[in-house]
Amino acid sequence: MLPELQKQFMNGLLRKDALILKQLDSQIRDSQQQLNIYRNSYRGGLLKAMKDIYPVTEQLLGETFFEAMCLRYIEQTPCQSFDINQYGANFSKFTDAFSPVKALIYLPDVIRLEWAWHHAYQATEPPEHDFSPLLNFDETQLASLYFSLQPSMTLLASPYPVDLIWSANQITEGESVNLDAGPHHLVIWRTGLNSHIDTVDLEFFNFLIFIQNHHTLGVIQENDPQFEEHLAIGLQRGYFSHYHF
Amino acid sequence: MITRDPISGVGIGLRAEHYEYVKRERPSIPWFEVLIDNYLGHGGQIQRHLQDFSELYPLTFHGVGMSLGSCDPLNKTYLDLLKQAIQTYQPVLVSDHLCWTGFQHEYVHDLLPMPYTEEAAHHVADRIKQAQDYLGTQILLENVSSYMQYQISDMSEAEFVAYVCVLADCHLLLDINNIYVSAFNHRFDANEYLSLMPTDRIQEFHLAGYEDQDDHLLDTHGQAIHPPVWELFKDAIKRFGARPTLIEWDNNVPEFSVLQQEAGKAELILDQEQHYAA
Repeated sequence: MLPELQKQFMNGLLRKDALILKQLDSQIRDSQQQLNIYRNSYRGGLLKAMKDIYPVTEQLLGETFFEAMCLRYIEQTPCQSFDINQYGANFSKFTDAFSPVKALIYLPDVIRLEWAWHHAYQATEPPEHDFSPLLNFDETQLASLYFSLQPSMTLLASPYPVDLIWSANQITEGESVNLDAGPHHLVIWRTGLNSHIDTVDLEFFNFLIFIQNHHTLGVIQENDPQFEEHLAIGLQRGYFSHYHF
Repeated sequence: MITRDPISGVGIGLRAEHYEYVKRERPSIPWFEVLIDNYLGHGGQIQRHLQDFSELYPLTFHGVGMSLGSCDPLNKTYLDLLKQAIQTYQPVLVSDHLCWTGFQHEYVHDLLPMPYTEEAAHHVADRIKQAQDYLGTQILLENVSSYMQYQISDMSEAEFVAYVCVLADCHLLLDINNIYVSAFNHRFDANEYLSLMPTDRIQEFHLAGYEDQDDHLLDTHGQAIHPPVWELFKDAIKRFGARPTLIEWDNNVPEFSVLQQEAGKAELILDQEQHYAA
């Protein structure tokens, strides 16, 4: 009985199924009204979470439009984690297909950047890894190594200068940004308590993509003419959490 | 880490808006409650704040993530994270709610009431016992505000709360505001509710503000505590004696001094009314 009741309630709350209404006692308050109180609370809770994660998007769209768009997203996207901080992860994909904002061609990438910033802020830190043994490895050993990027890190390539749009909208509406500034390749991550957005060139970005896709250093070296330089930069900046065979 | 002696007096729910103020000013508050779900599985500043506050004040952990009334299996990932946090930060008390928050991998992040039936009581009590065994600690169970009632309920909310606490052998966190809100919404007598509570299991009180929606009260934790809730708090102290009491404020969070004023009022009531306690 209890599982069926909970199933009906969830269907009523999330999918407007009417079956649960017959299970509610309507002597004091109409059944639909009882359910609506919970629907409003559910939607309000998720909306608040999204407003916290996407302040720049809200600033770009205006509060009214942003909230309406979020509520449409919430209708289509039940929360599937006990951790409300994980809600809104695929808002950018939703935006890709949301025709009312099609003219804002840069918006999905701004949303991806905001999610990456949110992820970096709350990511766990791996234990510090000792890279000094690498100095004693021969070429064959080095070629078979895999590196891992820091867990806080997101690699984001955009045809638009979304980092400049993000910076210009941090507190109040900022200066205008030239959308023809060219593609931007970004590394969003955190060291200690500080989050960063690093702009990198295309070649180094592709090197990091190779690392992210779990290729050995040997494979990456074959495909990247600047391999040694890129490896040195990555190590120097602390982009890697650890290595393994 | 500070010592984990039993707490007393009036604590305050720690909110991000006050992190810097509390660290800088070290206000004279006997203990803080943290909403532990916000910290589980996260690193960086979030974890640093928890570490810092655990070194400054006694902490209690308050969560919603156990979803104790749900018909899903208990969430092992959540319990593992909670257990790790308990072992690391040694909270004085650990509490969650008598409710369910999701089913079949869909989470509403809201406190959904149980039907008040024998089946539901045994279901939730079994899960509380499992959770307590897993965490290695007795938990406090909080009564929730509710806005709906199931036709199949065959006992009152108060009877259900008391029954579950006994079945599960857990403690009770009595939320005075929630009693008042539910009493208004469902037209029951809040004092009669108090009379049915198991006195020896009550370990803590919660106080918060509601929002008046004309035909119902909404438990928003976004306003000062209302006069009838203060009155009910006095009745509770007269009946049960003093217990650690928390001021909760989650929305429209004001200056910390406003919370301190609310805490001061609660302290005064604890001092004045506990002398009447049986």
